[in-house]
Amino acid sequence: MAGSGSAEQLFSTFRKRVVDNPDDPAVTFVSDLVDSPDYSALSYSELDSRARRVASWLAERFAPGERALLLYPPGVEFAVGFFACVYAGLVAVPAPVPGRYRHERRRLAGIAADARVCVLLTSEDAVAAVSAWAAEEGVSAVCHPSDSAAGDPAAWREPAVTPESVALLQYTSGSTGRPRGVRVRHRNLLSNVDAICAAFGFGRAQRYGSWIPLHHDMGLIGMLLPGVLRGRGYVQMDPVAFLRRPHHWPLLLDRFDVNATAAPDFGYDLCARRVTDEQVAGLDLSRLHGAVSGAEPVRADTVARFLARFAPAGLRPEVLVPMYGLAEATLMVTGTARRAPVRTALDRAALEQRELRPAASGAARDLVGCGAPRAGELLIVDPDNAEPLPQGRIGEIWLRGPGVAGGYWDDPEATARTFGARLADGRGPFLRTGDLGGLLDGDLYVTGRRKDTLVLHGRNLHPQDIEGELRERHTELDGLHGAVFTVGGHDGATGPDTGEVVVLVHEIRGHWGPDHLAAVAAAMKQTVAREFGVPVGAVALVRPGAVRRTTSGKVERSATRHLYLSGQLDVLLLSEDPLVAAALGPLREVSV
Amino acid sequence: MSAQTRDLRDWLVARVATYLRRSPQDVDPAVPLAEYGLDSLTALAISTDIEDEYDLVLDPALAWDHPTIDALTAVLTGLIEAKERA
Repeated sequence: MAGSGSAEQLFSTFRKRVVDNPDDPAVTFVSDLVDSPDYSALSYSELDSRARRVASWLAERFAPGERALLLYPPGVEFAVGFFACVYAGLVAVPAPVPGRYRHERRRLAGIAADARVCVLLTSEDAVAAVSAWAAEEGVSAVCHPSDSAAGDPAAWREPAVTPESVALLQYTSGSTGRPRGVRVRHRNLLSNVDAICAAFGFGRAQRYGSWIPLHHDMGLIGMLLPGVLRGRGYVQMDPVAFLRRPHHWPLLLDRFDVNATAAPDFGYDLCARRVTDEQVAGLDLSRLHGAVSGAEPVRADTVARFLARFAPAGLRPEVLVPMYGLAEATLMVTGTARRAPVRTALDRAALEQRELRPAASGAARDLVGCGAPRAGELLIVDPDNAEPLPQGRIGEIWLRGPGVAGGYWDDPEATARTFGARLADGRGPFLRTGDLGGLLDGDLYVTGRRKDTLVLHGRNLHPQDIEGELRERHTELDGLHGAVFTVGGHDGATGPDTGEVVVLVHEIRGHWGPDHLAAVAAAMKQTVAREFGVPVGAVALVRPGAVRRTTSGKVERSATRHLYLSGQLDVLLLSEDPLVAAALGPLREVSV
Repeated sequence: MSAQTRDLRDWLVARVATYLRRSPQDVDPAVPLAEYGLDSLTALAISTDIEDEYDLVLDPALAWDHPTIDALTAVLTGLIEAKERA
């Protein structure tokens, strides 16, 4: 049935808003808030007409189900490209505009190849950068700026899509670091958008706004779509503008009358640390009803400092809502609004025994509850024997329900492994999230991630990329093994003052003196800081064979990390930031 | 070293110390900032602070191309002088 069934469709939902609110702003981009205030906006009818124009151009050339890579700089144009794909029945593949980091340019080329994209949708101001990247990486898909005049809006016809059709490939990292596209169907998007609105009790009265990039699922699915489809539109700012001047985010919320926003933990942390009393003094955040913290572990300390920082501006504690979600479940999985964040001191020894037990006395780790499951079934499962675990026990988080996506693009084996899990008694299929956590008093507490992905400042980095880059740049490491991981921040290994840092452990060949080893370590830090932009807390150089591996040869990063943390790594040279060494001191004393 | 250059260097040391959460006497202007855990976020914050303080427009890669405070001070001194002459 070609898009005319009774089931509500993504495009029909949007078309209804176009009819109801033709002149209201659907998407707004704020380019400057202070020096010379400036913004651009598209009304619902403008966005509709622009999307129909591009959709007609696409429909003349490509069939429904083919993939379009969306490469947009911050601005309103992303929404045109996305809704054009919805209108033409093409699968949107959002990705960042190729930037200066080599590993990101390569990863983007990997995505274009994996998705076998037929067109690169972008805007006039980015055509040169996109074309240069495509030529350099041998990507042959045609590049089309959606703000050109090509296409006839009147020629648009409803696409042949069903609620089961794939709307979006959201690329994420698998356990091997190879990018994998999550097949998000039309019905997944609508059900997740509605779950988000229901969690907050939000409807057409709420405006959404944030700086989260739209190639990020929290930006597109968590903000733009609820704002445009169900709310009072979406207002965005350039992520870099936020990073440069963090107070512009709360300023945007106030000036543009935004009621719902979202960010990863680091965004709240940046605001809590960098926004000054003077900047808070002029703000009114009393009209903000929901601020989601997700996509990164929610740190108890960040939540407390952010709420304290903005309380004078009228920010109420129940506004900040920690959530848990992942691309494989479209986005949101758990979250409870209209209550102050729940912070629980958990017994550290019990945590090590995989139990959530409120601490009576002794060593505690404060965790923030991520709320209750919103739709479908959430189970905590023993990853070794697939038995469900009771309340209070820690295991792998398993899910099923309307938010669970249709699997990975073009990867039946990984799809079966991740989306086709069954309990010991045969019940299923469930999505195995790869994350560890437990339920306590109805709240999900996430205690760890099983994937090796490094989550830093809202970016996902892959240890394999960093290890590979190090071997490429430093001949002494060539052909050997390394293990890159993070310490500090949320894992409780180091205090909050050090922040989260990257540790590089690598094997080195030859019999070098201490001076040369120190020089190699310094150069490695420079490589990682420059090429990946992440803080390096320590470099450990070890003998060949010293990086832990499985019998099949896979690097065991968490085992190597454990050796490093406990001071049991046998090193040729350890170059460690004194702040990190000081924070790890107590941990190492315990294990001696 | 001129007084202006010394002021600039001390100001940079103070900014870097604040962002990298240590005291100014622990920041050696001759040591690469990567040794102190410089990341892209901090590099951006420092470059924005310099722009605001000295009314300059900088290449975002500045802190990576001039990886120590001494190197940054030298290039910024040149930029500030060029601006004053203009």
